[in-house]
Amino acid sequence: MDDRSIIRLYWERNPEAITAAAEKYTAYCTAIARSILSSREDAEECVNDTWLGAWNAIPPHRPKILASFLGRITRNLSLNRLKRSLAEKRCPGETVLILDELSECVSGREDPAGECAARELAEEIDRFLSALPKDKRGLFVRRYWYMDPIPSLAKRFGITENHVSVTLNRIRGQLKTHLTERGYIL
Amino acid sequence: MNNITLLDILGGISDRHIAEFAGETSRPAAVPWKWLGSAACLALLLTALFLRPEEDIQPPIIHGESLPQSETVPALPPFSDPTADWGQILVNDLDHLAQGAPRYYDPAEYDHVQWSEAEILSYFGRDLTPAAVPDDLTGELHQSVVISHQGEICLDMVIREYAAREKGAHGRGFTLTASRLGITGCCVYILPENEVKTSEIGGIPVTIGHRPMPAAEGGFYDLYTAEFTLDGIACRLVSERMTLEEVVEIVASVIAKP
Repeated sequence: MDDRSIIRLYWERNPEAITAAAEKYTAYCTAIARSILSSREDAEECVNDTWLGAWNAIPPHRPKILASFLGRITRNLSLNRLKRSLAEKRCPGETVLILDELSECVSGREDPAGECAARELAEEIDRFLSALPKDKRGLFVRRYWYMDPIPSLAKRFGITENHVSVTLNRIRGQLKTHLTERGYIL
Repeated sequence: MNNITLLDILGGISDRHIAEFAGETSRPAAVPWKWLGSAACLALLLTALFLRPEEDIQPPIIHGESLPQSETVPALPPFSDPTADWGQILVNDLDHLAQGAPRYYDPAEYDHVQWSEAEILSYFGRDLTPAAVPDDLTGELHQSVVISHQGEICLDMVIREYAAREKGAHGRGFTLTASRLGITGCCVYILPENEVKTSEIGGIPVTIGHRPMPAAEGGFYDLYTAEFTLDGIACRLVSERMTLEEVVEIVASVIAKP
């Protein structure tokens, strides 16, 4: 079933929407959840909750790209579960690595003026990504949105693992500079 | 701010960036052979033929014959080489795909012809067979050539299709269509309205388009188009489940041939 039909079913409050979305996007959402969570059961639960999340969000939302919309819900649910795992000191290795990498971009301190508005910051990061060459943007998005492991990125982009790490390191540096220059306190 | 907050915020990047790189990371396995864009064009042509009145039915104009594996021709350095200059290849996001319908040529006034390889070479004046074809793809020649009874060539589409035929290939492959009349298919790949970016490959301007296509197994795969003109011949490559590097190497190998 095409995405437009699935969204129409959601808008009509037809439960078939959940079946159709699950049939089409389970593999995609599972891949996202499994990149974040080490437990298969946790990942499956997040994916199952994704369909309910979409049910609650559509309407009023009418996603332009259904896959990204569902993937975003899965990612948020998985990250929420990850936070619980972190609190319980149960965190998958790959995620620890990714969080370590991102530590270079943040101070770890509370922002006295309050946290930057998340949406505004995401939009600025979006602008930064748009200005990157496509291959670098791909590396960044696959690493920090899809949370792909380094070897998988090396295979996908046909470069060495070292090249992936060095490139990501440079992009993180550029991102930090980009945000700091625009007055964001991270 | 801490790192997990930043990871949360990164989740808010736009859909287009997420969809742009949603494709499979590795060559997938196990779905029936399908070939969306170009197959749709071929299917439309075939449908038009089979829906004609019975007395009009002639042998189909689409004809497949095995092509020999191409010889090796120097191509651009592989883009997997980190020293390669990625900056010179610019990719346009394809807005959407539009489907046209092929014109019906009445056999009372037009002949559907099959050209031999020698006739194709003579007509185009150059060899348009891609040399840098990935090892897992095998080629077939299709053509849609229509000549009026007055001798005018009305349709001159020569399509070289290369596909991974083995089970589980998911329709990986590409078609390269050539036409002196500029008719390279009935599918239209809509480029952005503004700022169509053109890359230069072997001294020829090439317009490359990309669109993530939903995959039956979930997620997305890459569809690339590359359009260019060689000695007045309109060429269009449409690839599915191939990498940008592969597409560029194929285009470069066609352009490099004399």
